Amino acid sequence: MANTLRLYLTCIRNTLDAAMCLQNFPCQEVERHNKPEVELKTSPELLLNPVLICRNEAEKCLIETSINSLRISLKVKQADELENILTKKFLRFLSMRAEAFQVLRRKPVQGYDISFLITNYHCEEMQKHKLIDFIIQFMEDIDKEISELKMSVNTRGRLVATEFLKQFI
Amino acid sequence: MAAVEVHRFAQCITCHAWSPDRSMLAFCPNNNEVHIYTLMQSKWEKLHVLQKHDQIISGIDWSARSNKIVTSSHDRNSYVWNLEGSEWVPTLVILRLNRAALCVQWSPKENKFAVGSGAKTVCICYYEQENNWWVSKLIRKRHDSSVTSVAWHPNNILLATASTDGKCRIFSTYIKVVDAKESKTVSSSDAKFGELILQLDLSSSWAFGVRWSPSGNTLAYVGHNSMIYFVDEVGPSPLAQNVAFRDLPLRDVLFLSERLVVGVGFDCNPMVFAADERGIWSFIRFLGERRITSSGPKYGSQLSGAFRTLYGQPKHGLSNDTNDHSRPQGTVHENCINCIVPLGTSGSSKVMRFSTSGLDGKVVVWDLENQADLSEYF
Amino acid sequence: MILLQSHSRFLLDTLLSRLQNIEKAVELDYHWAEFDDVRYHIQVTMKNPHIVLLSVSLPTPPPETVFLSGLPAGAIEAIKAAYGSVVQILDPPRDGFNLTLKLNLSKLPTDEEYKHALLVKIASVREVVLGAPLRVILKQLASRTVASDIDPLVALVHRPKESFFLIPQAEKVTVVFPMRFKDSIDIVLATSFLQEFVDARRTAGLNNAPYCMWSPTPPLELKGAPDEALSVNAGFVTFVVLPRHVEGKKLDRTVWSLSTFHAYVSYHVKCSEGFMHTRMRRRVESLIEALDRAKLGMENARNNAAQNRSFKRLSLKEARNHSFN
Repeated sequence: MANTLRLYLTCIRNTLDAAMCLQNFPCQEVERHNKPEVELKTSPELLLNPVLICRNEAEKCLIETSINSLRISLKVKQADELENILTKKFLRFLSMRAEAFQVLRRKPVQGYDISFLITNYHCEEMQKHKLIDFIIQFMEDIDKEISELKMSVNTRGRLVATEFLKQFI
Repeated sequence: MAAVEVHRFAQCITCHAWSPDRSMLAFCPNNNEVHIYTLMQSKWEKLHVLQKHDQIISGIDWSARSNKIVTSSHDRNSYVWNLEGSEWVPTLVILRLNRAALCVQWSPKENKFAVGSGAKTVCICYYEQENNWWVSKLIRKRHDSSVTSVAWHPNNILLATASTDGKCRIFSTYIKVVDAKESKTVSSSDAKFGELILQLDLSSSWAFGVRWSPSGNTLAYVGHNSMIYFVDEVGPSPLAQNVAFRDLPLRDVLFLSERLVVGVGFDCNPMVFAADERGIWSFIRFLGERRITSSGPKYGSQLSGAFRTLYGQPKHGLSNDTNDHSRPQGTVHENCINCIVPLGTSGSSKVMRFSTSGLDGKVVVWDLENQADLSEYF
Repeated sequence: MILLQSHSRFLLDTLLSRLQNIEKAVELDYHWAEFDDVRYHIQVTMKNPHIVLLSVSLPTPPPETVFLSGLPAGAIEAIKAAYGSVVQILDPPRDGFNLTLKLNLSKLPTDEEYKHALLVKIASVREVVLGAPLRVILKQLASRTVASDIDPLVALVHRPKESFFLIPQAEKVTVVFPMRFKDSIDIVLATSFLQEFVDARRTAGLNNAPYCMWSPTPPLELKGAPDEALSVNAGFVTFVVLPRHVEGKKLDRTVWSLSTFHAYVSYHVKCSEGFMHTRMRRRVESLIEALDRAKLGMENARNNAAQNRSFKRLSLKEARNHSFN
């Protein structure tokens, strides 16, 4: 399991390395504008083919690239109701801090749990390999956080139940 | 070591140019200004700040003989800057553009300059003595997307352009009032202004950085699909070569001689390409030494796999048993290199020295004098 | 604190401090509310510093639960049995309350230990009042004297407009809790907790605890219960209480545990959420740091550049001849 995660993350890392070749590019459609083309999608020739990387049906990563920006959208594993609610809660938490995560998109792309929007400006002020490290760490952390939270809920549940039942004996 | 001088001037540099005597350096620190530095007692001191544009400056060219600076900016304008006394005096050029200007270059005779734009057009500008202004003539309706790079043929008439529509085109820029008196023996003098001489549709992705060889016999341009294209016998039946490489795409390119080309781009390390005695171009090596920091086995082939998917086309001539791939750490430039400028002695067709600048804010001077393995290509 | 305490901490503290300063006449008038919408009002006047008026408001009962003159069945008797002459029930109670007690502090026993025990009991008035009907039935179970004419399905209020159910039989009392939560995350966490009850009961040490079951649909025992009482979002929990669970001193504990079961689960769901928030906040901070590291590298480089503002000379040859051609 851990091994397939590494393969999945390595594949994402390599794709991001190839995709994150962004440059300052002014808008062709609107005078004096400079907007992420991956969001505007007004000039089809400025977009590259999107890449979808799937670990399995429930976990996938969509990388959409344009000349000056790229979008990474993640679907996080949610094996059961508890994982689902934990993921939602965690992601809601993150989006509340969106301004601290300059690369976090306020709304995920439809069909995904969370999206990042990286523009040429981010590549100018950040080191590309560390930015990619961040995305990968983010994915590892979210995986780890959800399973640890799940475990902590189960542990507490067991303790709560045991203490309650002990009352009767 | 090929990199002989390294200096970080800003957080990010958009483009740079040298004064004719190489004593001054002009660059744009990723904003709406041009900074001019000079070396005083082995320290770089800021001499001038050229402030007139109101958006980021996309191109700077400093003419070798007339000592004029031309700038282009996303604000849709160009200025020609003339040194009067100790002041750089700007003259606004009415480009008649309604989108950003993306690149600029003086023609070899310095009586014209070309501006590529986001309006999918190219402006050819020339000076009108009578009115004391710069006039812009537009080449319209040929490009399907932004014009990212322009390059003048040594004959002062032909202009090559690269565009995000993936094509490289060659136009005639013959302007009677300017060119008629200059020369009677221009090869394409029969072509009218704006006539499309040749359209090259070799790249499956955006084209950037186009240049002519010193003689004007060969043209090179780069594609964002990690390819570089070499075109000989530009005319009705051109000969084209596509060279694929396994690293990140290039942004700009420079001929050092008829047989030697340096490409710079997202891999942060200049790449050398050379033509053998039969005229076959291939990738020779990286110019900067790099620390080998392997990112695991099969990295290279996975990376090229990712490229294939992104650009939707299989890359021919690509070996799959590539070696370990190393990341930019340890190279002289630490972020994308987007500008390469020759530092040749005037009159020589060989360029032994050149400078590069990039998003890491560095200007690096490279010297190939001691690169024995490359000497045969000069 | 894992288990909920049966006495109101605030009520006990108020009574104790009043008792310590009994000589000093003060005016007291406190209103407060505790879990499951049990509200309290305590009042002491300057005129009678020995007299404390304590009013309690209980959660509104649903239609299936019977209150006799505003109180659960057997409550009056339970109060009398628990407090004796120290307490007098005022009829009618204060407006807006189910019960008003008049406490005469001067009638408290002199023995310190006994006095404290009685004050704790007074502070546990919700247990005495709300737990009264459950206590009656479980006591019958302990003495195996379940009346043959008893209702086969008894509904007891435990939360506003919500009840749990007892199915009393001679040898066992089956207790069924329909579980409802407001928030979607509460529902999921509670459901996962409730399944832990079933699993925990199977472990070696808890074999003697009441048999425990969880099901998403109403168990057969609830046939005949009103539809509203059966609409739940976190399933049904069933405990089978045997005489051995209510023997002697265990009775009080069992009454309290069962009558606050929902509150107990709910309390731990909230604790769990608080814990998750702390963890997530920490994780988010560490991720922000990771992102900042991508920028920090540049900061360092800039500082270096500022300190070393000349070209870095890389060869001796260049040092001799530094101008460009």
